[in-house]
Amino acid sequence: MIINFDNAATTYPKPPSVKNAVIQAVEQFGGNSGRGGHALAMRTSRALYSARTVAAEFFGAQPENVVFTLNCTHALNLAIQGIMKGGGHLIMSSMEHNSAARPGAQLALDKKITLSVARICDDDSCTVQNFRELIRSDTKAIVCTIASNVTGQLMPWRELGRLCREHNICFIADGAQACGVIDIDISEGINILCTAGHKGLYGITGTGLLITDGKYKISPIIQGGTGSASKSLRQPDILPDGLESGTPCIIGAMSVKAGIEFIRRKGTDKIFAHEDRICRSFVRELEKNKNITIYRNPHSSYVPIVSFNADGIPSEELAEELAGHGYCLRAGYHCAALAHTQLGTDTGTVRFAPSVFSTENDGITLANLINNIANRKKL
Amino acid sequence: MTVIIMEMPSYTFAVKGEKLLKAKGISCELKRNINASPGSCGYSLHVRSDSVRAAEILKKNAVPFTVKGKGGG
Repeated sequence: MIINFDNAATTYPKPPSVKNAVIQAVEQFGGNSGRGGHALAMRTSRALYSARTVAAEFFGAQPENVVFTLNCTHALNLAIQGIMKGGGHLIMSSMEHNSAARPGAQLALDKKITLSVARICDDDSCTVQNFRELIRSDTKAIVCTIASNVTGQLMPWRELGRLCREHNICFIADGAQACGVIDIDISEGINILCTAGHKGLYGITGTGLLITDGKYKISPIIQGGTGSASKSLRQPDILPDGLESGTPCIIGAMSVKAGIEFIRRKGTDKIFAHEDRICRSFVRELEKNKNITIYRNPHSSYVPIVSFNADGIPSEELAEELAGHGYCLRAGYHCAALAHTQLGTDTGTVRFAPSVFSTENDGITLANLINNIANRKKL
Repeated sequence: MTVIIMEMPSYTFAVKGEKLLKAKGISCELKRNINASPGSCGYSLHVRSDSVRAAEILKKNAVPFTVKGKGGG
């Protein structure tokens, strides 16, 4: 028996419509998109375009500004390295996932850019002020996660978008934990949205999206075949081709299309309400136990993710014991060095992350098990 | 009937252009080019009616294209 509460890593199970889309893609869209005039290529090309259009409509973008990537990390590397080519100053938040923190840090280590880290506060206006105080004349971009993958804290992304617009700075947003549970339209201030296809969008692993409003040129970091201007050795300037070298994951893109259509049928508000209810009842049960620390504060808003620890039990040990009972949760540092440094969590945390398929009963049963384990270890 | 051939820089723009034109009632077909120009993606829109209006619609919607020539159809 497996009960998955590690949906922040990747969602499982997937909706039946996504499984069906994958099967259909394997059976019918086995050509290469944009690279031939025969029936197989043409129908595959149209299918990929339809996936691009669905993603564009969902995020308020144009189809040509939707780039399919391997995952959110790939999208963030394209965005950060592409925007910061030529140098300048980058500001990132203190809760960034390594997928944003590492490319920024490496560019700074290589002395190609200068980097500042803005501390995330419990209070949104404090967070925005921290970013504001770091802006300089050579600041080129701000990168900030929309929601923390460790605590689920929802960041003031609209306000940061406004701040960036005031200062003519590119706003790169990491939507990996927010896309699919809250409504995100890039016209609300995001210049480049990077997200996973396989988390809240319910696509298969190996998928991601980079979605831009087209305002800032993103220099490609990978060159190769695009199916366009093939006689030239120069990488095309136009999107999506310029950032989509090589054969895209067409089957993956079709799964993301089906996932987005599933979310639209259900409604992000209903998905959020369902998962949030599960998190709140889980937290309510854990709060009864003084041996449990929950990393949430009353002044912040959250997407449906909860990090916690049991006193005296390393997070990996607790997660291992829960796994023995069939519960899937991730423990440790969650690829988020900056976040755990800010939280002061020496052995990381255990992370609870439901999906649309999770039940409140399972969350409460899990919470009771955690309480029993925490109390037993304290005796 | 004279068909105007509009070469597109990418397949994505080719389909976007086709959908825009058809939505405005302009008869067109997306085809693979046998003699594609070096800078194109190999796909063209073959516009069968009102090519001037077609060009205006594409320009208004920031869909780049190059008029390759005329063909019979």
